[in-house]
Amino acid sequence: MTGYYTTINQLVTKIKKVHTSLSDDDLNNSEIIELQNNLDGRGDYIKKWKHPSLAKPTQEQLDAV
Amino acid sequence: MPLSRIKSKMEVSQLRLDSSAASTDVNERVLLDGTDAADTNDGYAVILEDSTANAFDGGPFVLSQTPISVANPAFRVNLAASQNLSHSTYTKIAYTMIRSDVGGYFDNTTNYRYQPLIAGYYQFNAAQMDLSGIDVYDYELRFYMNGVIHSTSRLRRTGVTNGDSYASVINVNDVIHMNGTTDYIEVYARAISEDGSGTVILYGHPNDSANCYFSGVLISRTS
Repeated sequence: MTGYYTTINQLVTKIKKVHTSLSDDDLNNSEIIELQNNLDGRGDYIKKWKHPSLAKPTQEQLDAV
Repeated sequence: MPLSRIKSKMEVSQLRLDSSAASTDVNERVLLDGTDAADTNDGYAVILEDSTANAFDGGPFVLSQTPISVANPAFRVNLAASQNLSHSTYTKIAYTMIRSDVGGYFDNTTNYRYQPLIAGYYQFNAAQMDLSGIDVYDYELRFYMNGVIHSTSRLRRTGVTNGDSYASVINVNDVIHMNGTTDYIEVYARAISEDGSGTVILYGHPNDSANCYFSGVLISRTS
């Protein structure tokens, strides 16, 4: 399903590969980025992305890494 | 006519007050002990015929409607088995084991949420142990109300290395008003490893709910 990843840590790993300059402090700051899993069978997804300089990864970028 | 004067005629019949606009029954008394001929110093109930003027309506007591009797809602659930989470990802906790659930409002099979059908203020409590074998330095537990963060508890230590939170327990507690129809509460957890990756493990056990529970109780009805 688009934007969702059911394997543990698959989404966070892909985000780090897309944005290698993304710091852990920003990734872990819920004011900037929030990853979430609602246990609805779909998996992890990006709930919030408000990074000041890095754009939210596109589906194509996530699929490519 | 005062009702006390006609009580002898009511031994085997109904007492029915006239609810018409012309009625003068309002504030009449019904004697509870018919042996008192003086009609004084006796137990009585004042009947307020007009429900819109009932002074008790609008609070937790509604006397102008048919009374209902339900057990006071309360519940306690827990994680029956340890749950794996992705690093730095808010994940709903899947409470599948019900310890108690007066009213049966906890969904332990699909949505893992509490959705009571009685409006009022509820006390909610959750406790969760981190069982991760990775260096968790930031650990958070949240109440989500209707899918939106409502309350949070967080253990965060900065400037540490190998900041392992293994076996640490954090709690979140709050009093939350539920509308008795659509409102629901869920519990989410997130943990961050200083390693920047790794699988987070939340403790769960079928026979030990001391460190992995979610509980709540209605403390004041509003309807």
